[in-house]
Amino acid sequence: MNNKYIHRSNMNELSALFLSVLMSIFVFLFAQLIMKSALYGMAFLIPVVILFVFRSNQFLWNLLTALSTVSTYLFLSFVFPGSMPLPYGFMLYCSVSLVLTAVIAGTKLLSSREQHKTDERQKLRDQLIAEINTKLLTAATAEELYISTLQHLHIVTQKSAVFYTSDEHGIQRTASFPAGLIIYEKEASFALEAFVLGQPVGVGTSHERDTSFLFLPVKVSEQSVGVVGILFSGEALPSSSLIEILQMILVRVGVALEKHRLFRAQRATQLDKELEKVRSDFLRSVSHDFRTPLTAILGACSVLSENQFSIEKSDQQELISGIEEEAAWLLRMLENLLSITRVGAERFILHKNPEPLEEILEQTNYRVRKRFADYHLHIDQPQELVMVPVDPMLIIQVLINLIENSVKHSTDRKELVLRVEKQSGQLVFSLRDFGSGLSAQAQETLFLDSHDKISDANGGMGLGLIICKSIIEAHGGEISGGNHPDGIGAVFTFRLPLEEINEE
Amino acid sequence: MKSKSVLIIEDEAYVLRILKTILETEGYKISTAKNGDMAKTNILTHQPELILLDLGLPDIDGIELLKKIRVWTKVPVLVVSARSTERDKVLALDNGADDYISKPFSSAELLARIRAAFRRETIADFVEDRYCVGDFVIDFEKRMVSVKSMPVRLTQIEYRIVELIARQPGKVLTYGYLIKNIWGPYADTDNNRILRVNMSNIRRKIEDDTMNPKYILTEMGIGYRMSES
Repeated sequence: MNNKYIHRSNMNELSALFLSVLMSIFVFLFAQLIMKSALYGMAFLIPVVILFVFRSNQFLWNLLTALSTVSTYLFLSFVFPGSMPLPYGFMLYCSVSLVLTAVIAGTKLLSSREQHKTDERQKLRDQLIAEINTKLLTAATAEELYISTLQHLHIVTQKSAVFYTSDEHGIQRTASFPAGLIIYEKEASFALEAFVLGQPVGVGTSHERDTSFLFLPVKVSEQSVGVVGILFSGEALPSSSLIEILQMILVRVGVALEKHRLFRAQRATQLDKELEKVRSDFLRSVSHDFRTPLTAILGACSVLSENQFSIEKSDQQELISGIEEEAAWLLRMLENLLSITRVGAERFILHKNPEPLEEILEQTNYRVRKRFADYHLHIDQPQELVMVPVDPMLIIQVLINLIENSVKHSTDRKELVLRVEKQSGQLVFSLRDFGSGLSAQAQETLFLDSHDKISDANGGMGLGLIICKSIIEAHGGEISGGNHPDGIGAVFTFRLPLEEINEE
Repeated sequence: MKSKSVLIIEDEAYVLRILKTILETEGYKISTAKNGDMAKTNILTHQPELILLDLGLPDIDGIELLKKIRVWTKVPVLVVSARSTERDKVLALDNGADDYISKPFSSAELLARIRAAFRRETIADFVEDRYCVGDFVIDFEKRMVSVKSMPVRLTQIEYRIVELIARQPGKVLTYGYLIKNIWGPYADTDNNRILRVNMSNIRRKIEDDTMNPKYILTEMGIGYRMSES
């Protein structure tokens, strides 16, 4: 911009001077010929000088212009035939004050205008930066951050841009705006240079290279964390004040990136801790749940073997039945556990298939008839055929677990109502029982890990509901439970999406 | 009645003892094999009438042995396995097993399945022109199905599905088996939606209460089975 100024002022100032001198000649002639006195002409010189001095805020030039104008006028008044010689004192006084006033006024006015322009520019810059700041702070992922940055740079520069970040393999292109920008491999080496040097590299910088890009490092307290490349194709060159603005923006980008990285690291450690806790809680509750029936079995076996000949047949039968029951329970527990580990595994691939709702319900009904023969399960389902993308055995397991839970809290009324209905792209299952309902404490801890739960006499209600939650959530659904508003019994509800969602 | 001979292919001595006891108490004549080679010798020399195969053998993959057995003999093969997922069951059934029992099982269940397998075999020896169970009647010659003496209107595909299942009552037919037999050997067996929809329609037409089907029973995740009584 400095170049431009000098360039401009050469022409502008010179023409201003010339015109000013010309004007003073006219003014003199006017004063002399029309008003018959050169004295009056002096008054007219004031606006003339001021007008032409206005052109720039270069003090020297203004001085020169003013002086030339005044001296031309004085010269003419001396030389022109028939003009009255003006009193010297007066002339000197007028000239000096004229010149000074004009120069000072002109320079001051102009500089205030310049100042105003600079202020305006500064305001705009601040506004942009504030906007960018907000965008950067609210970016949820690093990717959003990169794109946000590039978008804003585009607003400021009207140019395409690209973001490079570094990892163990070196510098990588992580984002570009517009998205499909084609960039040559060689550009990465210039980006790397900017990264390593911590200074701008490319067009318009002191490190010119064979590239149309301007590479600016994104730094956090003097350490480079990334590089932004802006494409200045064609004639356009970035000015140094533009580079300044961009660097200011990138400082904030660097801060946001650093915050993001720290947040992610913190989150990861937190997750690890939580996972460890869940795992140890789980193991603790499982080992407790297994010991109880095993103790009963071993106890019964020892009684049977020690009292082989003295024990009553009926007692013997009772002990044997007990062993059978506990073993069967252990088996079911094991199957539940297998489901949990399947569902909880990182590489768990849910085998979803569109299954007819009818078959799922009919199979659930069949199992209920076999295991809970004294219970009546009412089923209320949509009239039309409904296909739902699920792993059918897992959903049946959820239903059976919920029913088992209801049975554990049953009263005399051995009825269960299972209602299924379609609701805005989801299939909603609700199981209602008429049992004793959920205590306030139970309601709080329904689906949490069983460490926080009271293990009741039947061996804990924990595991079954945790599995239900894992299975439903793995299907992309939600589960909840509470007391029925009637005041009788509890209601458990879960929803499953009816559309296949591709899970990566 | 001559007692039927059963070959038990099982490597765990403890389990073998239990199985032998259960079956011998029931009156079957038992022979045993601990590995694939012994099984082969036994099948070829003694020709058992039913084979109980444990898939968890040490020297050979259970499914591979199953395939080989199917080459040596056509007698019913009941597969026993510790794995209980549907995919394992489907794999065994599709490779020639007649039934699949997951460990642990009760002796009652095992015996019932063996009895069913023998029963299916005797039925298969006759070429039936119709099959009845409860109020359900299918006439293979007239290609007609009726329930409680009322004819049921089935589409072509629906009839073919019912016929296929009814010709092997009591046997679990996998989705894959049904699809290949109705839509041809190159049909896509990964997507069984059309079969399932057809079956839902069939059920609505022939069953009193679709929540308690009496005639065509579901084997969840595996296939369908025609009931036998």
